[in-house]
Amino acid sequence: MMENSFEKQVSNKLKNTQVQPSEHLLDSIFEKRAAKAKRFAFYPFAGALLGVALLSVIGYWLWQSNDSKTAQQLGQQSELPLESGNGQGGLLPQKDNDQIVSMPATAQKSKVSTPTQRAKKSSISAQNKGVVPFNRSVAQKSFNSDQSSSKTISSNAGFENQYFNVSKENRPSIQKSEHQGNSHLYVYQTVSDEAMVSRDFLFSRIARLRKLSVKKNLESLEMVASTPIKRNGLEKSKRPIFIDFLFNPGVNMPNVQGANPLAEASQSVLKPSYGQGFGLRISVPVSARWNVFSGLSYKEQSNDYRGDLSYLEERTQINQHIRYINDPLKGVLKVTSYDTVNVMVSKNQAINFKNQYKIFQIPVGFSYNFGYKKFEFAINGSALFNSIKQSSGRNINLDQHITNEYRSDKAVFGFGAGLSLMSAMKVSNRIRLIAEPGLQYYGLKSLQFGNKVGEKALGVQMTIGLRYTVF
Amino acid sequence: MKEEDLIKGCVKEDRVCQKELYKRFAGKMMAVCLRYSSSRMEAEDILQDGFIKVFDHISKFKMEGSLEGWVRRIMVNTAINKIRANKIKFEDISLGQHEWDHHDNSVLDKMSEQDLLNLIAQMPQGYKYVFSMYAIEGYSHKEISDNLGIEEASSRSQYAKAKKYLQQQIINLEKINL
Repeated sequence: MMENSFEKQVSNKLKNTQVQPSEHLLDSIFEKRAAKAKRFAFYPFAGALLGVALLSVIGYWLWQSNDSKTAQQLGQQSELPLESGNGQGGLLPQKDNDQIVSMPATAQKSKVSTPTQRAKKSSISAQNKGVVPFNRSVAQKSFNSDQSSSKTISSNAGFENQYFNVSKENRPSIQKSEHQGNSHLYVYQTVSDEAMVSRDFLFSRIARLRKLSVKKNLESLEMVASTPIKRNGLEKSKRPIFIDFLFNPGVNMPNVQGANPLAEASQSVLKPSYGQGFGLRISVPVSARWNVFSGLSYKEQSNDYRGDLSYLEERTQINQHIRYINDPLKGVLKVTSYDTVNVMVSKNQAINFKNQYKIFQIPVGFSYNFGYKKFEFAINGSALFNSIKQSSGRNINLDQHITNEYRSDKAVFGFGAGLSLMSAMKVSNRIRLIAEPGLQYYGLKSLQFGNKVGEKALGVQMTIGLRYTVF
Repeated sequence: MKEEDLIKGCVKEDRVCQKELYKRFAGKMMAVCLRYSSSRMEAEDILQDGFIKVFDHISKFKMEGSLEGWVRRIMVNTAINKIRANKIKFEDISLGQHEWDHHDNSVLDKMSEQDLLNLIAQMPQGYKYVFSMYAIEGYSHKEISDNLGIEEASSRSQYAKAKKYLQQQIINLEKINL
C-alpha cells in the first residue's frame, strides 16, 4: 500500500501524536449516553400511548355504530317517548329529576349528553323506579353544608351554571378528601392566589425544574491553525426538509350514519373494502423532536355493500278446504270451501354494489420523532381536509326492493382526522424507506352526491414509501 | 489496569473503567479526529460521537486485535460518516516543480509532529481526507472510493496531488525556517 518511505515517515510520525481534548468532553459523553438511555425508556410508554389511542378510535367508532342501532331499536320497539319537554327523559320521576339536577354541571353534561343516551337512561329509569342515580351520593355530599342553597331546576337553561349562580359567599367549602370524580371543578375555585406563592408550591417538584446549562468550550485552536471551511451540509440554522412519497393501500371500514330503516338496512350489508391512494408529504422540523407536515394525496375509496336484505311481503293466499258430509237424503257429499287470507312472506333481496369516491386529501399535522439504531419513528397526528371530487354508486330502494344508480361530479369539502406511526429505515443519508400503519376517520358527505345514506369511513391503512431529505 | 479488565469493566458500564479507557485513548484519537475536521470543535464533536459508539458497542469487541486499532477504526468511520453528510470539495492546486529527494526525507525527520499535523490540517479538504486515509490509516484506494463515494481513479489522483502538495509545503516550511 505504501510504496515509499515518505508515507512511512509521515505515518510513524503521526502514529503516536496526542492532542488533549477539552476537559468537559468526558462529562458530556456521559450526559449524552444517559439522555440516550432515557430515550429508550420512552419506547414502551410511547407504544402503550399509541395502543390506547388506536383502541380509543376503534372503540369510539364501534360505540357510535352500536349507538345508532340501539336508538333505532328503542324507537321502534319501545313505546316510551324518547324526549320530553324538559329534555330530561319523559318517564323519569320528578324526584329523580331533582336529584340528578343537583349534581355538578360537568357530571350532568358527561352523563346525559346525547338524546340517545337520555333515551336509554329514561327507559332504564322507568323500569327501575327508585334506583339511586349514579352520582347522587357525591352530589349530596358536596352540598351538605348548604342544603338550602342547593337549587333544583326544571329546564336546561340554568343547568350549566347552577353552581356559579350561587354568590361566592354562599358556595360550599369542600374538603380535600371529597374531591372525587367530577368534583375537581371546585378545586380551582377554592385555591386562592396566595396559595400560588406559598412555600409548599415554591418547593414543589415542579418549581424545582431547572434548565440544564450546557458548557461549550470555545477555546481557540491550540495547534491546528486552519482556516474555517464553509460547510456545505446541515448548518445549525438550516433545517432539513423531508419529502415523503407515499403509497397507501388499506382496508376501509365504512359506517352509515342515521337512525332510519334505510340506514339500518344499509349498515347490515356494508362490508369492509379495499382502498388505495398515493401522495406527497412534506415535513419540516420545528424543534429537536417535533415536526409539522402537510401534503397532498389522492385516494379512491369504495364502500362495499354485499349480502341479502330480508323483508316481509304481504301476500294474498286462497286456502281450499274439502270436507265430506253425510247427507241423509243425498248421501255423502263433498263440500269445497275457499278462504282468502292475507299472509306476510319473508323474502330476500340480494345486494351487491359499491359506492365509490375520489378524494383529494390535504393532511395538516404534527409529529413526534424519536429514533432507535438505524430506525427513525414518528407519531403523526393530523387534521384531514378532504375535497371529494366524484361519487358514484347505488341506493337501496326498500319499497320496491331494487337499487337505483346515482352519480355526481360535484366537489364537496369534508374533514377528518388521522393518526399513524411512521417507521423509517435509513438507506442513505438522504433516502429512507417508510412503513407507516395508521388510522383515518372522515366523513364522505355522501348525501350531497345523491346517496340516500350518510357514509363515514374508518380506514386502517399501511402506508409504504420513500423519504427524501433535503439539507 | 489490564486491557482485558478494562474492557470487561466497560461492558459492565463501570464508570471508572470508562474513564480509564477514555484517558488512555482520548489524546491519540483527538489527533485522528483533527485530521478529518476543519476545527477543534468539529474534531471534539467527532471524538464525542466516537466514544459514545465505543462505550455502546464495546461488548462486540473480540479480544483478537488491538483495542487501540478498534477504537481508531470507530473514530475514522465516525469522521467519514460526518464527512459524507457534507459535500466534499475536491480541488486541484497548481504546484511548483520541485522533486522530493533523499535530502527532503531528512527534513521530514527533523520536523516536529505538531508542524506536520498543522500542515495536513491546512491541506485542501479532498487532499486531506484521501491522504490521511491512505498514508496514515492504511486504507486502500478501493476502500477510500467506497467510503467517500468517489471513483477509485479520483482517489488515486487526489492522493498523488495531496502527496505532492504536502511535500511542497514541507519544503516551503524548511525554507522559512532557514
